[in-house]
Amino acid sequence: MKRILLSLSTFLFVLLVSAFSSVAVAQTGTLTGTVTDQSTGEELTGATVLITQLERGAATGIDGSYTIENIPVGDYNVRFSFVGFRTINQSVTISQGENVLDVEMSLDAAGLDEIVVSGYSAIPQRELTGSMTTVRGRNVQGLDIASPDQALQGRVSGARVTNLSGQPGGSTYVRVRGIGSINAGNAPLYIVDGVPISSVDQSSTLGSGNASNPLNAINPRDIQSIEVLKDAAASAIYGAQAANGVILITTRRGSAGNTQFNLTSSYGVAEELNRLEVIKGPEWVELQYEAFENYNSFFGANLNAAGFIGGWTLDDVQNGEVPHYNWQDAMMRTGTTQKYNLSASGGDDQTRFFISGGYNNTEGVAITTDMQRMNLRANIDHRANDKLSFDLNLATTVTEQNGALQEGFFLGSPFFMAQFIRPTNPIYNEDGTYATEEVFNYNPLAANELDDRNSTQKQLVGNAGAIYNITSNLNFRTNWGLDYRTVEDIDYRAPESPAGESLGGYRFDANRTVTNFTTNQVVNYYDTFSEVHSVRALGGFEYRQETRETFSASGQGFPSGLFRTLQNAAEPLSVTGFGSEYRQASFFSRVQYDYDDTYLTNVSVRYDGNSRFGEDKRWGLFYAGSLGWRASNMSFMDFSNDWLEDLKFRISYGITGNSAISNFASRQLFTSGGAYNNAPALTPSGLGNNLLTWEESGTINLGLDWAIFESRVYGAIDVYSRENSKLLLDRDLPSDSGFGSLTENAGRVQNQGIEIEIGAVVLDRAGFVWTSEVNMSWQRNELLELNEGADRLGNLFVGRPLTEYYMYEYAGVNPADGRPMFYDRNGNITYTPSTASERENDDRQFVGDTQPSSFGGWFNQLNYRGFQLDFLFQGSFGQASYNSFTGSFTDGAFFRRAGLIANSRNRWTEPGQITSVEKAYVNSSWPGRTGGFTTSTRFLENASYIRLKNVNFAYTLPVAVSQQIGVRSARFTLQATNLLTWTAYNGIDPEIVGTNNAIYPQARTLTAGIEIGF
Amino acid sequence: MKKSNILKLLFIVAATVAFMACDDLIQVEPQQSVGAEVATQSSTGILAVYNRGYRVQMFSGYWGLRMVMAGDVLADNGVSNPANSGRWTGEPINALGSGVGGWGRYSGINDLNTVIKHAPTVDGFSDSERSRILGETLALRALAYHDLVKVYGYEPNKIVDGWDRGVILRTEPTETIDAADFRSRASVTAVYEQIEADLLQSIDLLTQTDGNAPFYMNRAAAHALLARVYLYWERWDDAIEHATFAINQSPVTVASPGDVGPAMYAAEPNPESLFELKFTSSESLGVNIALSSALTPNVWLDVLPSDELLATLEPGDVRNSLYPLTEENYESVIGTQNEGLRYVAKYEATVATHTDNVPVIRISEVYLTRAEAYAERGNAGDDVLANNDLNQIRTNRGLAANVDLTNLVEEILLERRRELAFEGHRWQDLKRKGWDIVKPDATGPSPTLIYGDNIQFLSPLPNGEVSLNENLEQNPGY
Repeated sequence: MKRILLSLSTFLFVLLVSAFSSVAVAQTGTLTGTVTDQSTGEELTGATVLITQLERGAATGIDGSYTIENIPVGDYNVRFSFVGFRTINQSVTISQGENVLDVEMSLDAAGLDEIVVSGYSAIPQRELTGSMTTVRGRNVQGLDIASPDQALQGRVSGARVTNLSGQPGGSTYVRVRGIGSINAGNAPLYIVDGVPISSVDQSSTLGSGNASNPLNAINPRDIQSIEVLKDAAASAIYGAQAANGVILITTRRGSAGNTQFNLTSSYGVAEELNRLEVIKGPEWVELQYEAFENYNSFFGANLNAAGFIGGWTLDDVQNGEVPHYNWQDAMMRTGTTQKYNLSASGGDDQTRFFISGGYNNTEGVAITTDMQRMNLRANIDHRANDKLSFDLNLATTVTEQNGALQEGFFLGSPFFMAQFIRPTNPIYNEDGTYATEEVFNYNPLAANELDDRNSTQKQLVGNAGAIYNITSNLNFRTNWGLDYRTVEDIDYRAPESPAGESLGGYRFDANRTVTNFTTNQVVNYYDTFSEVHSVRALGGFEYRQETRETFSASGQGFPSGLFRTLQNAAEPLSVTGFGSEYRQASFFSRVQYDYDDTYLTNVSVRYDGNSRFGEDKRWGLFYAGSLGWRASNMSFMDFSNDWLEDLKFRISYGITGNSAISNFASRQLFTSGGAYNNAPALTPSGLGNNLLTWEESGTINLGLDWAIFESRVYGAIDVYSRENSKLLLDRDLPSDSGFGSLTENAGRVQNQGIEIEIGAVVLDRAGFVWTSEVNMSWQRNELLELNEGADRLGNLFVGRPLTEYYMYEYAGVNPADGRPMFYDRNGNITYTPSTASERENDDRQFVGDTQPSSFGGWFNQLNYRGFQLDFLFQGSFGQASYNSFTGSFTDGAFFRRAGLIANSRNRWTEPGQITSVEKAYVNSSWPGRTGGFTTSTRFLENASYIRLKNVNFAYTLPVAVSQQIGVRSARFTLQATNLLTWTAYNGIDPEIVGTNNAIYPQARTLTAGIEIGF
Repeated sequence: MKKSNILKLLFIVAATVAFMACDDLIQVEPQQSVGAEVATQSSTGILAVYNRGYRVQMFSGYWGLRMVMAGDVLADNGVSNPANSGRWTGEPINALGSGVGGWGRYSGINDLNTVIKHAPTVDGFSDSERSRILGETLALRALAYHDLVKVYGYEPNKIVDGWDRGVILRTEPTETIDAADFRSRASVTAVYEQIEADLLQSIDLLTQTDGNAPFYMNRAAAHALLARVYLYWERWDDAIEHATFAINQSPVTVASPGDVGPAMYAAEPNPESLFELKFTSSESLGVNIALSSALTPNVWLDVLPSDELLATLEPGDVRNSLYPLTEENYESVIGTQNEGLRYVAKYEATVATHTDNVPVIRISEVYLTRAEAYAERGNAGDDVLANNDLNQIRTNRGLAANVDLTNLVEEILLERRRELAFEGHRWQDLKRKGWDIVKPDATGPSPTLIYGDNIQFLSPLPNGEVSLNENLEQNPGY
């Protein structure tokens, strides 16, 4: 490592010295003019004017005007570009003095000329031969979202994006083109301005659904664009990390011109999407008596319900003495969101900057849950001379989250307990203290209010780089990036709280850090020969090192809830530490050759070495090749020249890898095995496998891009087949060997799909503009092969999707006596279905998939004068969710004498009744048969939905008015998220992956905001 | 030289250096673990694996929970509390698959085998250390195999329908992939012979004076364990001999009546312990699993002592104090449904939250073992000797000395039930005697389990293991 650093720094030094050696003196002129919108005639603010030969430019001001001074006299090409408009290239001769060039720009919905970031370089969209989707910052900057990954939802074909949790600042589930791995990671690689972001989930305190999102470091307001690289041609340059797709996030940069400030401020409220209807106190008592009566009559027993349910009798019900306490109201609330952002951008020829700061304070809909976040960003570009320029991007974030004490089916989980607790159980005593909870002596409100579950994430993501133009066609870029994160978790249980009482108070602190260092050195070459041969090439080296360190300590015994730090703990409990690291070194290259903008070829290669893999399999080669053919350029297509803007066929094939496995999976190690009598113990953690290596993903992709009517209508179709092979699978070992399994590379999974994206300027008349984008994806998944000789791994079967539910089929309740019935493997009714390790003897069946068969989104934007209306529909179809959440308060809750929901009213009560809810009973199952709460299709629901995800209505003051009040621009917004949902799902939120485990549901939010530019 | 050429050259040099250095660049050594060579070739490594040998006994599948109380619920000492948390509902009704289990113990046996293989040769131990470590580990392996074979197989002299399969025997550590081979179950006799050999060697290696009893295996405990094994094997002479060795070498004696009660079980160590597993708060099994959670009102109180067990305790028996009323100690936390119930007060989270030590061998058991072996041998005068041992317990528990020498075996087994309830014996005692199990009334309409008819007397092997390993035979009926 040292040797490399040394040689690189020498190299850099030489570059620097040579860079300052050129000096220019000449006669100069000034270029000035105005840029306007062709369809409305309005001046365009912020358009970029660039003299390409000089790489000098300016941005248009508020009146659409621009000025570039000190241009040496001569002939130049001037490029006018502005997002959403067609780029204009114009020749101009600069003479001494002032030269005027006014242009009108027309709408370009397809964005063919826009530059997209594609991994270590940027190229015009029209040259792409791989499959990728770009989300423009302008469409998402104003969204009421916490992190940039949420912006992808419904906007990118092939990417399933689901909000896993309503916890403010919670994480997002993103899967690009299905699920290809069983044991390695399935999350895409995120790269922010060239810095890969560690995807390690950090906070354990806030639970898996809530784990601090590493992308919290990126303020959505700062996003320039997000590129989702889907096929191998697009992603293979990232080699062994690319198999799950790559998401490139680019942040905004300043442009030359007057400094522009933007201030945004918003306030919003959030409410629960919906609630389960809880059975009220008196009715609940009656139901409990019914359950006990059923028990007594079955056993000839004489149990009195009163002794089990706090002494309430049926007489009390008659006399109206049974109370009802609304625990849902106690545990949930109306949430609020406040966001403030201030940014400044500007600069001159030499130095440009974008600086922004943001503050976000969100209170969730569950009590005590919130997030406070501060973001700061500085993106600076400096051109030292014609040869050398520098850039620096620096973002720091502090995010503090308070979570619910627990999620899931636990006593501290408000989402569960709001229904689970008896409705007759008071919340407070008469003196205002917390009432005792009758079953577990655990008042969940007290637990949540008195205890803390807190996670503070401090993150720094930044990179510094330099570009040296060796010649006008060849440059060298060096980039040094850091993604540094600390997460401080606090779990405090006050001595007065039910969770802390038995311990006399408890506190757990964990401090986790991830240091993720990346550097890459890239040579980029671009040239065009004879006007038709266009060559782009790059080659480089990258090194990445990720170190994780954790230490945690806990103590118990606090004098009172006023004492909260570990120092106050009477008894230290445990101190643990953890450290791990991996390193990766890579060489990569990509060569693109285009002939006449018509025949496009692209080859990328990456050679990756990673410390995670077995000694004998440490280095691997990844590659992709792709071809494109722009048919619209062919002479035989001349007939269509009037309306066909672009027609391009693409084909690609390539191999990428998935290295997301644990850092020392290949090694035979002895690891900590606890302690005996305070003496430390060691135990072998597994048998080593020197042959263990990355998973491989081979993708073939066929694509078609088209644009018609001057790019006003455009679209893309992609068809892919991805086969992941060499899956990391555990081969079962006989456990009497001391080891349950050995990790080896075996098995294959296939994902296939079709993706369609269509966009259009639907209407552009009299100042009214309606643009619309639709995307739709269909996908399927199949497990092709497991370890040699195996056709089943747990509940995964060869020939079936990876994410399928395998459970009993419920047959409803026997109308004669209220017993729950199931179908056995032969389709006959049984009361005692059974599992077996052989498929043919197992009553469980394939009954649904947690992954959708299709999903998509429909985005619209309507503009009229100053008014703008954005709305996004998003939907997902064909996925199933096991709704054990709702199920646990139906008949399954009887046996705990716990709260019930309205579903229980459908229970069987008399012969002949057709229902799916079994007879009330005091235990989870009657002797000798299986209870209705046993996992079966009874609670398996179709979770398909269509959601009006986002509506954003904005009004921008006319320039004349805003100038009168002394600002450059002023805009008012009113935004709603999760406004309407169409679904048959009975849980709270169908936007869920897999089983509904009483997680923190999303909220419906309404936000009002103002944006002022000055 | 032109500037561009210098640059080119520099670039080539940089790239070459980078490439050559790369293999070193991506070499990372773990911080959390050590390589196998470090762990097995150093005395510190082997010492740590030896500690692991104790640690693995404490898991919930073994002496942390199930070995201690599952059998009592499967038999007739424990019943389900109607207000249970949903746990411990299969065992009272002997639902298929709810047996004591413990096949996962092999992971620990592999640790023990690692010590037994490398301790004799590794550098850095003194001779006495080497003997002690090896001797203790052999005794732990014997304990583990006996726990396994008594759960998964019939006793050698109580074979039913010729089903004499014991468990898989592994006495070498698995250090290569090839060593993780598919084996079949050895006969119960072969397993017992292995246990006997381990214990005899252990007894040779151990002394009683190294001061580690009872939290570490020791010579008296090894004798006691061997006596227990011979009792199961019905080798009465040998059982008597080793029980006598254990009693003679034991540093502890049977507690006197005034000392019997919850405090005896809260003491560290239990004053009767020959071998006791020492838990600290870091080995706590947690709120959901701990013995104290299942047995005390502080958490779930899923399992109650059966009325039948309580009925065996005469009014003057000091062991009545081990079954107090819930409201005596937990008035503030019990709901109305748990009022007026008696609970087991042997594990009340006395070491730390959700944490208790577990006595694995107590001196009282050894007396009762010798008593039973005398009574069963039936030589002239054995009945008096047996009765003397029985009265060692009775007179120290507030009961009158027994004078009736008829039905001594039944009387001794009844005393074992009273004395060793919820300490991992009841189910095994009934099974090794080949007696039927009469379920408590509170369990509901459940039948008596007939020895030889009901398959539940043997725990099923994990299905996954049976389907993976063609050589592995499942127990009959499963």
